Amino acid sequence: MKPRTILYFFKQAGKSIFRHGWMGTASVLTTAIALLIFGVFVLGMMNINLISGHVESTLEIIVWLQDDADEETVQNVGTYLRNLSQITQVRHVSKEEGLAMLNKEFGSGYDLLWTLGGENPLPDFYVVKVNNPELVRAIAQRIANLPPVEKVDYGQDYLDKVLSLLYWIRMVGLGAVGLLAAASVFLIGNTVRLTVYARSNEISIMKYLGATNWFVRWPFLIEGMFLGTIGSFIAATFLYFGYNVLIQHLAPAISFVPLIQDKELLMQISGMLVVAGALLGGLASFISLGRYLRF
Amino acid sequence: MIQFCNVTKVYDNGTTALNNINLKVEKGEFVFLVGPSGAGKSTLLSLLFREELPTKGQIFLAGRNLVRAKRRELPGIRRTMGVVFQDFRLLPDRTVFENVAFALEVLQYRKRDILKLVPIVLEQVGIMHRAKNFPRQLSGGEQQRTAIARAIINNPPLLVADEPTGNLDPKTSMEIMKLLEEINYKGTTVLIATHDRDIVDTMHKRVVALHNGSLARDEKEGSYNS
Repeated sequence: MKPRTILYFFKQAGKSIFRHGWMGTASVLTTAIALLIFGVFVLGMMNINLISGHVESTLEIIVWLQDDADEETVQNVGTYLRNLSQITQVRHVSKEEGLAMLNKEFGSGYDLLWTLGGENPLPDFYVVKVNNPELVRAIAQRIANLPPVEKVDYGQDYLDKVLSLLYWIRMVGLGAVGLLAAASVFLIGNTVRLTVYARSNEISIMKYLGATNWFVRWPFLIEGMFLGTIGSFIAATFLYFGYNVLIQHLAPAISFVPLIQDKELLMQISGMLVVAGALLGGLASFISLGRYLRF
Repeated sequence: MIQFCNVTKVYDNGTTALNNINLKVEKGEFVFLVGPSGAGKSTLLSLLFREELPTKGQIFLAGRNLVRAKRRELPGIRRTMGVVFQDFRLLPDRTVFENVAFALEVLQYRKRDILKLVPIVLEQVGIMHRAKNFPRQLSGGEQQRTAIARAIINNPPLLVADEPTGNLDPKTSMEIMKLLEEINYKGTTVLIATHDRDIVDTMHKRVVALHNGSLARDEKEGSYNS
């Protein structure tokens, strides 16, 4: 393409953007809102994934032994657990330690053993950590099948709930983003269609004069992409600074929860939003023009 | 230049607009296409512009098959044909000069060449003194001259006019016809669809008459009625 042709395209696009200022503003704002929500959703998902990964990695299996297991059996189970390759950490808590821990929770000056009639009802147990959260269920079941093991506890119920919650958040978010993206394509498309309609006479003359479809199309594509880019740039700016401010205030308050604080990653997400906006705008123009370029 | 071979056009609603048309126009000819409304003149022209495809038959323009042409070949084909309409179809927000220059802009001519070519053609159609005026400031005849200038500026071998005098008074119509005849003398093939009996009868050119979608008559130096 020749430089003067490209210049011509930009001139035409600029003219029609000015001519339909209000429609343009409306579609810019819609795009901005749609993409801002999209960005918030993406960041939210990434944080939730990070948090749930963190939760999973801290998952423990508690192996309760039979009440009447003798010293040697307890040792044997411990050796067995330590020999499993997927298990990273094994901690033994004896009857006495368990009672001491429990006693501590009741508070000092209170003798739990005496209350229980001098007999410790607690079994020995092991606290086991697994290197892969996905294997927690399988390993727990394997351990549960050992004869001296009374039962195993692991956070599966909790994990399942979190996972299904995440699933629904994803679905609702995706639906909302889809609708908003469609709305912005529709609005930008409408803006461009106004321009196209205002210039339909010119377009048909261009066709009779032997203009190629791309020659007719480019100014409108530039207009749509420009509107989409402006909208998404607004969204990206709000997202970038808004998130930074939020993190600054939130991170110290909930320091036990890990949050994404990587500025470079945040920049990449913002950049992706701008690209998405430009593409949405171009797509909208392309669709709106279709009818006029058929012959 | 133009050749229609057994061309039939049936629309989706069942109307037969053209029925087995065979027509040949040689290079350099001047041809009137006549017939009452609904005879198929418009359909014939829109097939020639390749706005539509025929139901049956083949159409050739300057040796190229219009029916088999690919979409991307269409712009090139349309550049071999200048088009003039009854309603002029000038851009209201551009001057006479800009309207004519537009044809060259679309074909991506250099600015320098545009500035050189436009005055020549404006002079040729006799509208140079109106170059800086907008279409609304012109008479019908002047607007049609501008449209003709736009149609011929890139020297197409064929000029097609659809009722070019439909909105003009008899005197102006005659002037426009004289202009088209001059263009024809310089070697351009001219095809004019018209209702205008007086003009056809005065000009003594080849007349192709359509009636109910069929070719009713084809006479050298013919008249509006047989």
